[in-house]
Amino acid sequence: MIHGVLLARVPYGDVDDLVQDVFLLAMERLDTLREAGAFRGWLATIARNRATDHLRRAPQTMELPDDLPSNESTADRTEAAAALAIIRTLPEAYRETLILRLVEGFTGPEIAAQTGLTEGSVRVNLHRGMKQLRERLEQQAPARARARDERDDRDERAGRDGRDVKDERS
Amino acid sequence: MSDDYLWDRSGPEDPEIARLERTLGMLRAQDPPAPLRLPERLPDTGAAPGAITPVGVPPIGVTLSDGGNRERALPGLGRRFVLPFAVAATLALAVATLYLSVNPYGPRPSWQISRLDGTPRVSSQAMREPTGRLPVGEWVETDGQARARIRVAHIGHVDIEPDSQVGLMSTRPGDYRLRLERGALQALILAPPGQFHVETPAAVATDLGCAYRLSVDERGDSELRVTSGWVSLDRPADQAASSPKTPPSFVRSGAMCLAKPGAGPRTGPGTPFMEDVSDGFKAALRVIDFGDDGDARAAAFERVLVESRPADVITLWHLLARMADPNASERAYRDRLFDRLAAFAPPPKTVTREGIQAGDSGMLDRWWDSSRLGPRRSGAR
Repeated sequence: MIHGVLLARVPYGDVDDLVQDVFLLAMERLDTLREAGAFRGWLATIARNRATDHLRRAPQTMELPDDLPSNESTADRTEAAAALAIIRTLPEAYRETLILRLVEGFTGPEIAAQTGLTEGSVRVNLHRGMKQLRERLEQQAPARARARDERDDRDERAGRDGRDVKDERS
Repeated sequence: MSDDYLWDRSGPEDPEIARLERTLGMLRAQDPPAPLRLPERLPDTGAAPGAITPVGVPPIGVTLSDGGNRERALPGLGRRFVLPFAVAATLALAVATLYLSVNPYGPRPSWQISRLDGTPRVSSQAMREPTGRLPVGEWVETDGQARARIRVAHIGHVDIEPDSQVGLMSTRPGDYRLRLERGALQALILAPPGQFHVETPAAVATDLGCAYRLSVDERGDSELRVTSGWVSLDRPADQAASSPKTPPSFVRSGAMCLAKPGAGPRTGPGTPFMEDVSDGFKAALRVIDFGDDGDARAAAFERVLVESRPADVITLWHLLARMADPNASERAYRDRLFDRLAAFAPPPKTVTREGIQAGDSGMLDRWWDSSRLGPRRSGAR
């Protein structure tokens, strides 16, 4: 959950380090927690504050590093980066909830339990966030298709050039 | 398609959501990092991570207290490095602890919040004390019995009604900003115009020295009722780029304005209207602002033109301002709106029918200002 809360706010490459920071901070500040039942919401608040603090101090860096831990293709990574970038443009209320749902894989009731938000709020955030995400994906679909075609052309040309060089050598 | 799959993966699979889950799933939290193994002779820190584990926190990657059974660490270093390392680590931990106890996240702007009824939730925690703080980026939620009051810096307060969700977005001087995601709030602001804003899914309400009630229903539709002064209602910045350029709605005391979320035509803030207009007049404006083209739209224009009174000049002005580029069938209504508005609020000499027909926004603003319809608009766009 903390990973998702942070990913909604800071560059992907910074998230793992900040997860560590959040738990260290939580340990230091455990005496400020009044209700054990509110622990997850309390922890999410620390994560949001830590992300804000991080953004205030650190310049924005590149979004997705090449060594993304995944076996997926470059195209999938590009699509993930594009979707994440769009989610980041949504109002804050939708951003975190959508990332917990679509990236971290929590269901709505689980998000409510993890963040301490009411189910009503989570449902509203998911519904409206997804509606806006669909609209923006639709708006960007032509541009993404053009970029994909250009990439395919480039790859094809690079492959052809490679074959030409081999042919010349042989 | 229903939202069941989005909510809890029940119901038929939504292909677009499933594809996003697969694509974005690669960014999911990986396995926790390998534990940092501490040296054999590191003094005990006294920390008690066991206090966290019962409520299901994943490992933090630091093994601090496991009795005397610590794993032997730093095997590549000779014993001569262990003591300096331990001293340095202890010093670093002490400095970090001191820093964090003084200033855990840097300055955290926040506003005071008071419990009025029931038990509001602030930052996802039940509010037990009569007052507390609402930091930037955090939310207040109220259930059917709860109400809360937020003190807006030194310029006023906002009462949050039951079944609402309100977030604090900014406390920068000159940009005090809340977000009303659902439910309702009542604002009383005594400050120079343009400092206090409330975002909703459909609009941004900007205080022009006023008291008002703003509500958001389950579809994200917003309703503004101004009880004192003026409020402007504009499109949210993220929806403005892909929407027709229209002037913000200026809503006066005793008037209302609706707004629909989304980008493009027939969304955003509608035409302001006085609360005492007939239900038919309101329905006609709803058709003009948010309905489809067609006969109903023509009938709606007729109704507004026939029923409008001198008190409705603001409605007429906004309708005219939104017809800068009407289709052929609506050009006639633009001329009749011009005549109707001119009958109640004669335009100054510098405002001509031809200029208004050409969509001259400067002329519209001069007409507004010279007729003293409300706060000055010239230079406000």
